[in-house]
Amino acid sequence: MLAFDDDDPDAAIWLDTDQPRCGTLPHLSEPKLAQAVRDRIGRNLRAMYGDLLREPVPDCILDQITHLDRRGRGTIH
Amino acid sequence: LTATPEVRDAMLAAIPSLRAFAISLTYNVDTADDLVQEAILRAWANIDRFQPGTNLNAWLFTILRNGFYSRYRKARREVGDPDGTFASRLVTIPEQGARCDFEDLRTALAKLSVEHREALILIGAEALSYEEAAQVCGVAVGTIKSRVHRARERLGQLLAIHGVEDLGPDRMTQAALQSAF
Repeated sequence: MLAFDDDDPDAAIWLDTDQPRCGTLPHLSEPKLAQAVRDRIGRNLRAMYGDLLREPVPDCILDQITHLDRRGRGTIH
Repeated sequence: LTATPEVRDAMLAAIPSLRAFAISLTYNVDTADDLVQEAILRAWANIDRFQPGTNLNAWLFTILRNGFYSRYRKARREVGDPDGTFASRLVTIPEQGARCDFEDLRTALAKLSVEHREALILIGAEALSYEEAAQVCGVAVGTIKSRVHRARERLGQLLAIHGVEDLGPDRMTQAALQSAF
């Protein structure tokens, strides 16, 4: 489950606690996952995402592009 | 306005990536398809702003992401997959008995903040450069690096993976073992 942290998207940038602080680089001093673990997560992430990439594109989206293309070329109005 | 045939073809080729990114953001296929269609409309209407030679996918991701945040920023909205629609559309068979299998990964990804998840997807799955991902998300390169780092660490926690000893055999190993016996 996810929830957005802030109603204001700009605030999310300025109040982002992910920002490395000058001279401390806290994200670099924290314990790191082993390279093998990172590799496995990365591999599974790409494989999972690959399933989504291989899904057929819905006709409605293809039709939309065809329509936009024809309209832009003046073949339909 | 019209796109050149090259841009139109590139846009068509980008749609699977655009959909995958949208599904990863929303965990809802119908909403994702709406976002993709909105993004295409906006991109087409602003095609003169696209700089040829730059990454079209990154430009489209930026438009789609802006649409996503415009749509949802007003409300604190939960994004989940309560009916399993997202999970059921993924056809890869999970590894049996191994930590960090696909089901676990999907569940863990859903628990990341959307900012961390999008950073991880753009870098880890879409293979955008840190600079391109930073541009898509409208933040500094260092912020993207930090988010990817934290996302990986959080995934490790959620998957209860602290070291290589917690990893089960992956599919390549399993396939090798199965073919050997």
